[in-house]
Amino acid sequence: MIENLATGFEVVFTIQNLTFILLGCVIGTLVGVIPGIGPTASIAIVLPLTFSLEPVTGIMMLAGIYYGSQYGGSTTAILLNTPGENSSVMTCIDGNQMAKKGRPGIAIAAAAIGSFIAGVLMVIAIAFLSPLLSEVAFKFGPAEFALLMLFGLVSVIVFTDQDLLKGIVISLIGVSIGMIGADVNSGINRFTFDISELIDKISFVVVAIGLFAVPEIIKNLQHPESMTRFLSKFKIVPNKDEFRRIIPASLRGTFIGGILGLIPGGGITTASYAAYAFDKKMSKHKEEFGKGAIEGVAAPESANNAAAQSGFIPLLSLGIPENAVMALMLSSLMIFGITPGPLMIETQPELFWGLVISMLVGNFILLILNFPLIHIWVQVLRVPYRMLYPLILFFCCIGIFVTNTNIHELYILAAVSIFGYLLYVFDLSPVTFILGFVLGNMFEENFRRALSISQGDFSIFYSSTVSLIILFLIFLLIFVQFFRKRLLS
Amino acid sequence: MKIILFLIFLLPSLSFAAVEIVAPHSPGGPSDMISRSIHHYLSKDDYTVIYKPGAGTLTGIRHTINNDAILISTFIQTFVTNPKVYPNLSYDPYNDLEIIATVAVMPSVLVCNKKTGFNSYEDFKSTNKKLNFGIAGYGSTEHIATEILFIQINKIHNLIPYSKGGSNAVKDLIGGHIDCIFSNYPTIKKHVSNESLVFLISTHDIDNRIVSWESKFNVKFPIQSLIGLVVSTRLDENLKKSILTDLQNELHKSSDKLKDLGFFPNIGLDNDSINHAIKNNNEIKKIIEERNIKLKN
Repeated sequence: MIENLATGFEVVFTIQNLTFILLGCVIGTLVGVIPGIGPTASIAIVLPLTFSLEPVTGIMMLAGIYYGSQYGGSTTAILLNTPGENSSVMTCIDGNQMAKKGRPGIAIAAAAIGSFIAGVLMVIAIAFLSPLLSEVAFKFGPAEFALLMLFGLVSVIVFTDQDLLKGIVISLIGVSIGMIGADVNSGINRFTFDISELIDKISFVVVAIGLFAVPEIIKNLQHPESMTRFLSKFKIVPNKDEFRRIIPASLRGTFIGGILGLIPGGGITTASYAAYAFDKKMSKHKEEFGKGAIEGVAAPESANNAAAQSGFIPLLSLGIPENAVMALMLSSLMIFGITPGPLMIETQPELFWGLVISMLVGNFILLILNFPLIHIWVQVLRVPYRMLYPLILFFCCIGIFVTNTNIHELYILAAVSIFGYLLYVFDLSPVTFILGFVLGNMFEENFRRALSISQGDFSIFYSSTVSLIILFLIFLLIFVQFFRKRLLS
Repeated sequence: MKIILFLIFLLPSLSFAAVEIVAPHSPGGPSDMISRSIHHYLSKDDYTVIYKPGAGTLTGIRHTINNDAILISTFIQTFVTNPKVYPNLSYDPYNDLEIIATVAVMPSVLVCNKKTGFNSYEDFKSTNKKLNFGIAGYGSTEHIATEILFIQINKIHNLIPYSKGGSNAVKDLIGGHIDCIFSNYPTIKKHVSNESLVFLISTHDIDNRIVSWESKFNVKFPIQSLIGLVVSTRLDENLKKSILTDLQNELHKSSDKLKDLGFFPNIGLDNDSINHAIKNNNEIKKIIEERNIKLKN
């Protein structure tokens, strides 16, 4: 093992490789900060250029863009209540509240520290536990995945701060909107009204920006007193008490994100929500959640970084990509003639260990990079709002358009923004809607797939250990929450 | 020096004047692999690869027609199944699109989980159990190949469609949640040495560890999953000539790369190759109609 780590350090610590890791981290941070533009689009643009580099250098840079974007996504979420990345949606809730209370520096620092802790721990997990963690991913079939999504949906409703009935209704509206498009299980188009642009479903990025960014702009224009103010003096280094809160939240977030990130599809977004909800339950400062709890920033940010990096585990150990970014990495490796899989550690030790150590180094670079950048990012708040909000709108629209060059997504953005504003007017949570939108779709797809596999036999949902554990957790969640409320009342 | 050159070369890659090579599936899939292999040998100033997945390749096709681009087309999906799956198609396959080259055949491989107990194709053919077969969506090349396989064995098994390509089906196959897939070889190639899988038969002679259809039955598998390059019929003639010249000079160089990735290179820019591709499409269309193969559930 020492030898392997030494190989990795030897590969990484060359001027060329360190420079490209830094370049990847910087590009990733910038990509993460700009709403709408995700790592997929930027990696796709940069990918052909990596063919002129050594394979290990190219892959290290691409990986840097990916986990760098997770660091950057929290910045606009905290300062402008606009998620820079899909995974930063949960950070908007408490992060922006912290910024409004004059603590933007601490919020961004908490995000950076949480991401760093998660990044380092996941690198250790990848190095030592890849084969074991891959086995965990295989335990989750369609039935287990459907139950996990059901657990998520139930917890959204159970943990909602708003009225229970309102929470259920908004969540179900999110589920319904998530159904628009081609149904995988039958091949039939649902609610597309023969509009071919809707066949491929409404993009999550469009929904997130429409529900957060645009209503936030309208709210700030209506009520300028509620805007996040620039302060000339603010702390960026957390004190002892704040560290005592950040570290346990980050560790919990890392564990949750590390496990959920192994699951294909919405692993990162689901992980950040699960970490937030879990910390809300476990925290000694429950009353602060939604009003600027530091755990509400550290937990989801560590979860999203952990989930992003755990996506490398199935890719490197089995050659199975968990999401579009991993698929691009796989494509890149295969063009180089490298076959990821169980034999890769033996046949390409420089690549495997070089990549693992590069992620460790990359996380250090991002922590060092992000702390000084806090002062720069916070300067954004000095820009007069009449100049800032058109820029925010511009970048959001450009980000969405650049991803798919589909003008219809901007029309959908306009429609979702109106809906998002109505949620604000009626004091309804956009988070509940978004989670219904993401989780409902995945629940339905996997639920029906599981029933297709079992040919209609519902015992598939309680025949494996994993599914029994998840079912138990669902019942426990409902039981504890409702009986607790009854006892308290 | 490399760093400076890298940054300098980054700018032209963003050039909007470059001809786009459109990969109409999610990254990591066969069309992505082919687009990268071809692009590797073409001028980076003149050609760029973009992803346009979605709506069963319709997004990519529409972009190709509207933007004078080149589409990496799985012919079965573009010309045969899309018109049947989407009745209000926004394009006419034979009037709006033109095949300019064939690139490769995508071999298919029958892979089963070891839990099924199958050790050979005969075991699979003789089973009375209803098996769960993963496919990459209705109307996909894998779906049609699987249906043709069912015709060969005179049995219908349970189709389990997956979204966003075949990698989730592969994961569920390895995990034992489904029984088999009749997957394209480039997707499954890296799992040949996986101990939980059994590779029973392939449509082409692509790997000496896997029995091929032709060696077993002395006939070719009834269909070929051809992949090639397609452009809009309204493409400017001068641009088309320039593209064809570049392809004639460079396309054959990607043969070895395609073989390494698991494809069966079948590079042809002449009329015979294109006519063969059209004939293959018509035969598949005939099989679908005669056998009443459902493209929706």
